[in-house]
Amino acid sequence: MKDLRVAPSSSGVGRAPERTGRLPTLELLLAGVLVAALLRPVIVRFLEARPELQTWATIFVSISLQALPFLVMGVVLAGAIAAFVPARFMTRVLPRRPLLAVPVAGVLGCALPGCECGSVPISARLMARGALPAAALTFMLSAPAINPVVLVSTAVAFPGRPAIVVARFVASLLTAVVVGLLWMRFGREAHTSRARHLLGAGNTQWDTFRDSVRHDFFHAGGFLVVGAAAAATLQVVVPRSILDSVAGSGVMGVLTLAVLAVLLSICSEADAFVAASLGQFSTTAQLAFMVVGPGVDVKLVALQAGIFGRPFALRFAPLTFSVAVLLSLVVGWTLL
Amino acid sequence: MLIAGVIVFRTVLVGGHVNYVRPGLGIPLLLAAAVMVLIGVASLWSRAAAGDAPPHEHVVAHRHHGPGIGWLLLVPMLALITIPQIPLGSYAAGLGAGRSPLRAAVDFPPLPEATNGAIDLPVSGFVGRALYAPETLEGKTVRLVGFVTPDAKSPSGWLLTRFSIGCCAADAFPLKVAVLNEVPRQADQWVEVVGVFRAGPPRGDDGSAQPQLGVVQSRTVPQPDNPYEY
Repeated sequence: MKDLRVAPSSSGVGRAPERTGRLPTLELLLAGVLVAALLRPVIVRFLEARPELQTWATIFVSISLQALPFLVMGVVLAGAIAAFVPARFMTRVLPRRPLLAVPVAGVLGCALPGCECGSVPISARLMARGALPAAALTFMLSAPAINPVVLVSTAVAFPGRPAIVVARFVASLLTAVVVGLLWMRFGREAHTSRARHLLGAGNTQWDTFRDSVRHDFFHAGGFLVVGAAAAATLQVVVPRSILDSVAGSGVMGVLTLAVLAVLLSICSEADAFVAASLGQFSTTAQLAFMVVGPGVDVKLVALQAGIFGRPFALRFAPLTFSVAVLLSLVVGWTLL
Repeated sequence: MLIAGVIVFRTVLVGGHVNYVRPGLGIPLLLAAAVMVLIGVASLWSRAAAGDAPPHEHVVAHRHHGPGIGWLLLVPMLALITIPQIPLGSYAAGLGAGRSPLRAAVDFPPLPEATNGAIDLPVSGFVGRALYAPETLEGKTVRLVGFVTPDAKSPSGWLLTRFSIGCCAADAFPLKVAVLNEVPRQADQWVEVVGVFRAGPPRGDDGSAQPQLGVVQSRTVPQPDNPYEY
């Protein structure tokens, strides 16, 4: 009699079911969606009695929805660059002379649409291929801040106020260049020699593209949600009087939003919408939020520490923060 | 990612997005949703094709926090399918908001022609003229559409309100009109009023602009397709 317990696997040996440690995500998600749909009547009734929650939810969803197309555009373009543009292209474009290389690198940032998380590994790759560290760092700061997607999203977030877009461009570019020049003067080789190669594992270009888009989308999207939730909470929960007094007081308002930008770590394509929602604050404060965010935030510091090492991150982050805030104040007071 | 794309797609098709953002964002949202669906399908495809090959390594790049945070994206998606998609209402209007979007326009365009005995004006147009060019409203009968925000200090016990948004619901600013000769109404009820501008104290107790409208006739209406003004 045949032994019916022999598992008919190709290797001929019965194997225990493969445990990859990963949950069946798709099934979980579908189940979650179904549960949510079923719970809807309960939730509706719950919210009817609580208009403050409903308002919070409306603001939260609106920021998320508003930012979504720009987020998608950004990750798609960044994925395309990661997958289809060879890194060597960028090293060849930079001039040799350090004093020139830094500003040029800053302006080149225009060409690289993408979240700040993408620019960190790219910058590391540039350094590994011999680019001047200060120039690579300038590029790392400017690319997420002045690329077309970000500028368009800023224009959409502040309709009818092109001065803000210009201010953002100027302040961010100046910040990137100034930090680069300062680093050239005061930074030390030891801090950046640890730049390591990342990604680039085999795979076809389309695979890299697809995986990069997915990864960036989830990464950036997650932080967008945090940012939207925080902004909604600020608007609904914090008593207006406190918000107004902090917001109204010039430098305090600017510093508050700058710190908030660091904490919230929103992707640069989306931070304009969160900034726009903080209407009580002065325009300069909103500008600071947008200039500081792409350069230094919790997520970026973690990334930089991972790629360049902690000593680097400890020095680079405060430097970028201070320069960004100062330049925001200056540009804000002159242009806005 | 696939699921998120589908949800966004459906939301836009149903028209629910106007409760949150400008109608113009509908097309970009659809495009974004399409991209999300495509990439989602492509990922599923490749995962299925790979079968039970050993897991890939290339997500190791971000050691400190991988896409785990991406799970948060579920929150707005779930919100879109569970909570009622209604625009900001009387509660939000009561909160007060940031800076007013109304600027003292140098000149307002001429008023449009009257239809059915009254000129249709957006609330923002009415409030703007009342504050900065009241002479253009002299003796004119206008028709406004807004929702009810209860206010004990106002002449009829409520203010006709409409939100004006710049970018999206997050920067919405409530515009209020103090209606005279009106019956008590329920909060958040949408109303269409026909009346005449009355010069009077233009500002409410909280400093917000509240021009007065002497109402001649009014009726309840369903929520307009575009609840916000832009």
